Amino acid sequence: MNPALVRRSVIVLALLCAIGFPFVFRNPATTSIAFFTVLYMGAASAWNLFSGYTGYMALGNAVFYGSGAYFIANVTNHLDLSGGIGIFLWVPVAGLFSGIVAIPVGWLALRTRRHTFVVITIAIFFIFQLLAYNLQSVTNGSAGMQLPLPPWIAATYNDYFYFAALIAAVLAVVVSWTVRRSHFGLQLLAIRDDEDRARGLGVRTGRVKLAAFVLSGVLTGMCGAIYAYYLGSVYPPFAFEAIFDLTVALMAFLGGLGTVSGPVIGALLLEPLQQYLTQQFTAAGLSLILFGALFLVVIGFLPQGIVPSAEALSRRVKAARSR
Amino acid sequence: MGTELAKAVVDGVLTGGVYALMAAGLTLIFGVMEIINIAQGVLVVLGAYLSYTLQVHAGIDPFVGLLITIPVMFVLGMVIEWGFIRRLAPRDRTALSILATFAVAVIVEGVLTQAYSADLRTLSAWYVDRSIHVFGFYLPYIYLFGFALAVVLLAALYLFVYRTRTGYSIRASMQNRAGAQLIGIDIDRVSAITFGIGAAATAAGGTVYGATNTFNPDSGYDLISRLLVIVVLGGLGSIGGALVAAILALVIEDVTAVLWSPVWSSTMFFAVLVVVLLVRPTGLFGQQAVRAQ
Amino acid sequence: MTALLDVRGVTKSFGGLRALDDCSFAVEEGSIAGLIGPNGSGKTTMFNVVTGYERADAGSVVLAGNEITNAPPGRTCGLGVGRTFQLTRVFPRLTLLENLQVGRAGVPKAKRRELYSDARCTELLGFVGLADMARVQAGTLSYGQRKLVELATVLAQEPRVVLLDEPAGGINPLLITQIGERIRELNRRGVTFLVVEHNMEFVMGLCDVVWVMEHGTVIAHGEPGQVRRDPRVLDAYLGGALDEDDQEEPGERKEATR
Repeated sequence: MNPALVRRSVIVLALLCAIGFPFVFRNPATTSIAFFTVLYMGAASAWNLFSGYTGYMALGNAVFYGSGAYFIANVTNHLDLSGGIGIFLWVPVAGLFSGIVAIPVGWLALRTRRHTFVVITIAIFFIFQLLAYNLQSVTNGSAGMQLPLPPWIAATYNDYFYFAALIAAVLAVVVSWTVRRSHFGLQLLAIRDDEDRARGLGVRTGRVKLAAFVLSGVLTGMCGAIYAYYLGSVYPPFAFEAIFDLTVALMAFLGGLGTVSGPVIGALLLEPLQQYLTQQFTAAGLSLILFGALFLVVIGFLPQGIVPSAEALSRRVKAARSR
Repeated sequence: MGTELAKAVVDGVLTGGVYALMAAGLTLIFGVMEIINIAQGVLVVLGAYLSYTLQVHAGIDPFVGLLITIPVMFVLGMVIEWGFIRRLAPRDRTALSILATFAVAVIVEGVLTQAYSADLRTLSAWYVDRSIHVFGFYLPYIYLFGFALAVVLLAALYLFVYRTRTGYSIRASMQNRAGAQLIGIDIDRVSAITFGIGAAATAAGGTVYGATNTFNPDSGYDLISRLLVIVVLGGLGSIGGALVAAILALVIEDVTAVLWSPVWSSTMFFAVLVVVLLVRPTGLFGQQAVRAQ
Repeated sequence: MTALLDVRGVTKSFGGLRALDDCSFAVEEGSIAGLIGPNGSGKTTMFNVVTGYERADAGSVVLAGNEITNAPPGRTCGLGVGRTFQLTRVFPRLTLLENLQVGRAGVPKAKRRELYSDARCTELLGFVGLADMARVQAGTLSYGQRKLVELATVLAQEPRVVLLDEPAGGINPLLITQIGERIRELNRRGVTFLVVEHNMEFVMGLCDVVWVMEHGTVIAHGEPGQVRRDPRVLDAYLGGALDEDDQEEPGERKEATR
């Protein structure tokens, strides 16, 4: 069987399943989980686009998630918009806003070496969280902001958000795939392997990294905007959430850092599990323990991630078979 | 205004000392093992809870309780290193360590939430609410004791690292990990001890932190963010740098509260890092050295 | 013949250590030049200055009439200076083909597609005997194979002059001969080379002209045969046998054993 054909069929099949999902599983509890899963597929792919391809661990992407959320909250409030599908048109704009935010943030953070880079992204995250609390005029502080309530019925309420998230996720994956196959992507991967040598060969490492960072910011911002609309309100600790970065990192990691399908698979496996854990174990402490333990298990046993490990396995099988 | 400003500076120095102790542990761990221990924040909180338990259930004074909590945390640190850190693949070690220690932090937070619930607690003792009246202003005893503790422990740390054989091994490992192994240094043992020291520092820091703040399992995030800022500000791997950075950052934070507004003081704390990194991307005392990848 | 690469009066200190001291030499277009000298004479530092990895304190580096002193590595690369490293570096997680295509960035768009096409890069890999591994990850290769990949990567950028830092280091004699042949073949096609090497047999057999450095400056130059017999050079090596010992042995003076 032609492997390219197989891959293409799988993708088409997966897309069809994704599109058909809310029509088959109508229970709002299920579609809610589906919504978050698809949303995180997008967010994890966006994170992987920068951190996975360049190897620079950015633990502050929540900055863009929150920026997108607050942007759409501000827009809907200032333009006095009423709920409905129209609001979704502002999602890409929110993404662009986050991208603009990403430019100075990225420029600053990327002046540093890898280890320092992680810390400064964390520091910038906390600055943004604090700004959300303190810039009352823009964010309304800890009182939060409300978004307009859409006029959809409870039975299909989640479906609209699901599809919006699905579009965002597909966009993120398509962008990841395009980048991966482009020379831009090659440069990112070269930077991951040996940045100094890449620079020596003429790669404009500063620009390339910033471009990937901004792109990641745009996509993450879109996810944040959708999330805000879904929740109906934006508060500092939820828009700028510390665990967000850890979650998307784990998903990308589990699936395979630097691969295109890795984050998707990671989100597919982890998000439903996380939702299930939080629902089953109302004792918040227990769900944290399990989450952390799961994390360690993944790092310990699958340091490469699922997709690369599967590829390596299939290579070994093929090699054994051809003897 | 003048006295308020002076008080802010003094407060900053005193609390800076305590943060310096905790940050010293963190920077030492990075210097020797090249890993960033995200769990350092929650370990401080754990230290605070341990002191709390000893006080509430056994009536032991928090500072006295250090005789118990420091060794306990030291051992815990070694266990964490042995159990989780040592097994990390050498490539991408730093990145993996961030995720692994973050996971450990989440687990510890979960355990604490189960054991103590999310209620806010604090340590109490005669010195927590009383101040000494000196030079026209009031210095809370707890700050003074905490600072004194930090000074003593930092001095002990200095002596250990610069005057003992194990300390020598630690410094050698910091300079050149592979080289140290080649001359017979047991890098596993050194790593375990270093991590243990880092955790022990959090025990001390935890006691003071617990006495000067209300805390719950969630407090770890704010703490680790501050410690990371201090460590990077001072230069990764530099203990002296951590000390200077801690005092500098905390003084600026407290002064901002007086000169501008308390609302913005926390933001300033982080902003200091941003500003410094703009000028010196390796931190105040960081080395320019590009570690061979 | 005009000098393609003209280095004049380069001085470079690292703190108290003077690594390069008013060092000058020139490489004629179309030649294979050698740069030899005992350990610590400044050869690799010289390479670093020429390619922009280190800044010169004084002096100038001119390439085909254009001054490139202290231009950053990305630029010197784009201007036609290729360089390999003492410790061979490849991009381990990229395939061989991708390794060659990374450097595409510095080239104007029009030339890019054609210059870095899969076909041409595979051909280059074929030149070093690795065409059938084009889609294998570079990290799985042996050290010697990586050396060949590194050479191919440099060649992919169509350099005017290639600086080779110990191309024969750490590999078996058969591979050394192969590499020597590849270099000669490329030279025939018009590529200029400057080779730093400790393997005297390799240098003497390959180079048209040899420059000898000691303590950061050039002490002799000329045809290999000449240089080998030059007393100053023998003195610098102080071991006499130019095809072996590079270690300085203070106080000892031996006759050249040949």
